[in-house]
Amino acid sequence: MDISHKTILLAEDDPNDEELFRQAIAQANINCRVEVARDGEELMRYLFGTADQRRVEPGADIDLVLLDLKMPKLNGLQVLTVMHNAHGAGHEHAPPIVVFTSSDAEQDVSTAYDLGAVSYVAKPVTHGRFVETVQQLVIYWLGVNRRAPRRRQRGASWASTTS
Amino acid sequence: MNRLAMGKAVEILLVEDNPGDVRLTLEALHEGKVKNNLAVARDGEEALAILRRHGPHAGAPRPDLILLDLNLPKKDGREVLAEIKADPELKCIPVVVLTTSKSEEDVLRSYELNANCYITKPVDLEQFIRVVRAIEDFWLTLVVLPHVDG
Repeated sequence: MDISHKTILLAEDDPNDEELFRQAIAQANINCRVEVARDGEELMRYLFGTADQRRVEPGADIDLVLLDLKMPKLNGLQVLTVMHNAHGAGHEHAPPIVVFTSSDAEQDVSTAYDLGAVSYVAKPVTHGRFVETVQQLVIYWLGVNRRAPRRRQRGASWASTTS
Repeated sequence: MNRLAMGKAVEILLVEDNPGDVRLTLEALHEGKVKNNLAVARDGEEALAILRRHGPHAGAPRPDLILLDLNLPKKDGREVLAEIKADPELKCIPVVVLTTSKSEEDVLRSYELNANCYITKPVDLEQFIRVVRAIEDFWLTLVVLPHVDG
């Protein structure tokens, strides 16, 4: 299964977990691109662009968002709330957001689903399970699930409409 | 806490009118690693009756996961999805759309209606079983499912 052209956006403030994540996909010969956002604000910039350079289609270049709930600046549930409120504004084109976090508190789980996370995966504590979980998760969402199609190009790129 | 951790069987509702696909799904899940109970609804109306525990389904358990075909008799899968996601008691149950439709419009419409996942059924038998196993491996072993009352 060729997923080399796909991109995961990993929202993760812990560099150790990022390193583990990269090792896990390398071990499984999954050669997709991985972008990292260290906090919720950075994640928002990836998805929506910056104030003076808004993206026409949030997250169009991303195939999967993996969201840690405990992040600085804007936490995972706040990020989901922003995405949820953008509903109706092309939300159906957005990349799937999978919560990947250390908490499995019932309240966090149900809130995340209510706010539109497509699934919720608890980070395993042991190294071996962590690697297996990452591999299965990535293969499922990039290889088995069908992502929503991007919006059709309307003949003009963002740059050409503003110049 | 997920059902698995509590040692309970995972309740799955399969909404599918094609007997061949029902049989294959049952077989694939039966041989799987995780204890599960599969209820089958043959059309959209039956699916909603089971979910809302109407009539003969009064004692039906709330499913932890729904596998939903789109093209169904009586009530179409898209309508079923819309009703599930508009119902405060049902909306947090993950819905995996599992259909032969490859149409972009169906994919978009499903996500618009808050489907959790969209999978096109492979025509090939072995591929089909592999896909059901992948669904099982992901949703029944990795995922923390929301707590559903009942």
